[in-house]
Amino acid sequence: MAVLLAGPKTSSGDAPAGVESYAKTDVLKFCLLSLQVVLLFAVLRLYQIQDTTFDRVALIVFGSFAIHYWLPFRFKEQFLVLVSLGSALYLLGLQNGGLLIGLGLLIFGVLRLPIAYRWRAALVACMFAILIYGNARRALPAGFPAVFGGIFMFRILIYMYDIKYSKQPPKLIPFLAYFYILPNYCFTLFPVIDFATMRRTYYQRDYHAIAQQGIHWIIRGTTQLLFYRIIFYYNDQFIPDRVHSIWALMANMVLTFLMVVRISGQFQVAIGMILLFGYDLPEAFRRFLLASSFTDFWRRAYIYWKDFMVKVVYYPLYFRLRKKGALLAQSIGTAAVFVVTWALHAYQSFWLAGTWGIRWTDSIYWALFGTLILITMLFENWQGARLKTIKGWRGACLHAGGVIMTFSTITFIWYLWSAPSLGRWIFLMTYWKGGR
Amino acid sequence: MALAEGRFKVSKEAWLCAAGLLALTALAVSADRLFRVPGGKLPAILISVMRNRSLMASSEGDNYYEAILKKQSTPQWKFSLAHPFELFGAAKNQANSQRLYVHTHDFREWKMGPNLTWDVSGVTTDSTGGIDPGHPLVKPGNTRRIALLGDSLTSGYGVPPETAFGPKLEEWLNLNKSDGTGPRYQVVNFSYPSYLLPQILDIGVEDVPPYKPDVYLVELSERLVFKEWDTQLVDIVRDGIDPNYDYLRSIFRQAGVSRSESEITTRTKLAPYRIALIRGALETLNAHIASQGATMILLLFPSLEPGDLSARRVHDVREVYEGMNVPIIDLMDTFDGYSNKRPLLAAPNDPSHLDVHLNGRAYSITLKTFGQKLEQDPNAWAALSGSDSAILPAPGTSR
Repeated sequence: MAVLLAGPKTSSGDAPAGVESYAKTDVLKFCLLSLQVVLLFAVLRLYQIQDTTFDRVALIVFGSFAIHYWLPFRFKEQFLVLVSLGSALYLLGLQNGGLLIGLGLLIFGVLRLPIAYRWRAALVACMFAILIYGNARRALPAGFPAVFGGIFMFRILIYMYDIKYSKQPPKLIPFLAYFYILPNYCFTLFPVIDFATMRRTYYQRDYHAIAQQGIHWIIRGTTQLLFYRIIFYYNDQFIPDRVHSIWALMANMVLTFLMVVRISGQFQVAIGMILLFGYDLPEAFRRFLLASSFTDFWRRAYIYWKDFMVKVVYYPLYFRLRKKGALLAQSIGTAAVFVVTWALHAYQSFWLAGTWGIRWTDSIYWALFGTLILITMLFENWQGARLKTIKGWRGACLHAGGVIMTFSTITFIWYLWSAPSLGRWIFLMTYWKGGR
Repeated sequence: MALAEGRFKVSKEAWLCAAGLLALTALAVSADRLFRVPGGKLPAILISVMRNRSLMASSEGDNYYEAILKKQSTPQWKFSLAHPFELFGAAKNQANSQRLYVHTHDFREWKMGPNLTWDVSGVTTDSTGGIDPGHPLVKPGNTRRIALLGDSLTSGYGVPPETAFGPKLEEWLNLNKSDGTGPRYQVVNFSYPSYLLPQILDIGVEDVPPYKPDVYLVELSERLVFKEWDTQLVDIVRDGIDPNYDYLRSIFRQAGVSRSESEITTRTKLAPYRIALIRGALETLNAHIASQGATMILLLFPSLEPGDLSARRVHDVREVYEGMNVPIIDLMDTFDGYSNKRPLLAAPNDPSHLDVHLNGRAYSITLKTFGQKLEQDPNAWAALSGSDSAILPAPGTSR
């Protein structure tokens, strides 16, 4: 039982020495963090950052932070899990919250069965097949598919991948801490957090630095969500018959792409909140508007997704094929990543929006983006080393040119992706030529 | 040494974050005052836009992520709600959808269900699903009758009928009428929630004339001219319903719309004709009103969208209404200076955050602006009152 419930590694167990020392309390530092958290809550309320559910989640997160800080290290994660499970019942209601917890425990129970991994995986797959069928038939309680999908649809793949290669059986507290993440109840579109990374980074450095990083990201995310509203305000005028000049078209394209800051902001707020509890996760978006190539954009704007794809698609394929040539393995691996990404986005839409939502524009976007990544990757293999040697003003110009080219191209294909149909996109792209 | 530097960095970052948060708080608090500072209008509008969460729910984007995020913004959680109206747009609305709307398979496409009451359904209807205009068909003597046409904004959606714009307007116009001088005023409210311009035109042509109004006060608001403007037209094309009016038949022919095509194709074909279709509806209504010997006044009516979005959307079609040669009362600046409009909403706690309707207090503010605008425009007052008499002081002001 103790093994089953085991939470974070401690210095008395098999953890790296000093982990507990990173959780050392300090009244002054706590006050400084709390001051920011209180101000943050005031800003979230004043600007009505999200909906009422988010307000409640923020209140729970910030309140729990204050208690969590003072708890002995060995109780911290258990406390967080208790708060998360209680919040599921409070925020989602007894029916949906209970179902969510019940199904999670059932999945865990299956994964703990003393049978071969492939049978456990098959049983979990069967459970998902039943749930997918139920969702397709609209037989699941209202609101449940989105929140269940938001929590389990991708992370279960990572979790099962990790336990397949783990020498230890799955443990309950890490399982619950990984899946029942507080902000996930209001943000169903959520970064695909890696289980191994979450475990590895738990109190991996001084807690105050981690929490400060978290607050920084929440503020950055909040600012981006506010910026989104201004972008929306300026983009609002461009209904189809108002795009009657090339400048209006370009403004509409750029503003449409910039609306991506909403996801970026939301992800950073969510990840920042997790950092308040000692998980030193990587940032979700990293200055993606300044990406200097398509592969750079992929690395900066899809950080969690890219890691997920590399882990479950790219590496398995690459290591299987590399004997036939590294370049071939890389190319097939990359192509497979984008085919799977396209399919999983449809799967995500099925859970979160209730429709598979496969449109021509989706397919073309992922095909174009994947092709651009593949070409860039091949080009970097061929000329990358030489380009890196170019320094000085020529290097700076090359970099600036790369940033402009990447931004323009991504803006263009993003605009296509944002159109409801190819015909509508062609209309939007050509209407301005007719004038008024 | 490195540890000390790390500590300094954390501490410095903490103070910077706190300062940033304080600055954001100060901005939010000072927004209303900024409206009154010269050159402060745009910053104040942008702060007002930033303070409004409804934008997160009302995004119309077709982008993959926007669609999912919009779905995420729709309420799926269970809370105890203090007011029944807070459930509008959520589960109760869906449960009541059969009763709220009845498909009529004619030009108007649908009407409200019978015997609705405002406190449950947001609107009060009679046994046939009509909005009770609240006045008898026969106009009493020495009465100037004003027909109010529009959508939910002027119908008083979500508030007790007596606190809506029409009754407040009637009450104000009849102030000081106890001495029996001059005509009394009746404001008959024909505004119908969710109807768009062609449907409002149809009410003006078919339903209003038996009441013999002297003035048609026609609302023009953002919903009628902006993103949703074509919804009913697309529906009648797809349902194969006769467009009823010559200007519609003509434009449908030019656009080449047909029943067999997809909704998005019809929308795309109609988009270039938006201005022509809005103009067609207003001019047809104006011609009909003139043929009845009555007067048309256009009322540019605000909703409670963030910032000045409501005004921008209506003023976007100024080329239509400014060329019509009818009196125009522009109320779009009514809520300038209110960076947080939530206290003015009919359903401030609506979990969908999509409500833009006015509550009783907001209608009072609107009426005050209405009075002020009439004071500035004697022609509009003459058209409304039918005389050159002195205008009443605007509500809430004294002379």
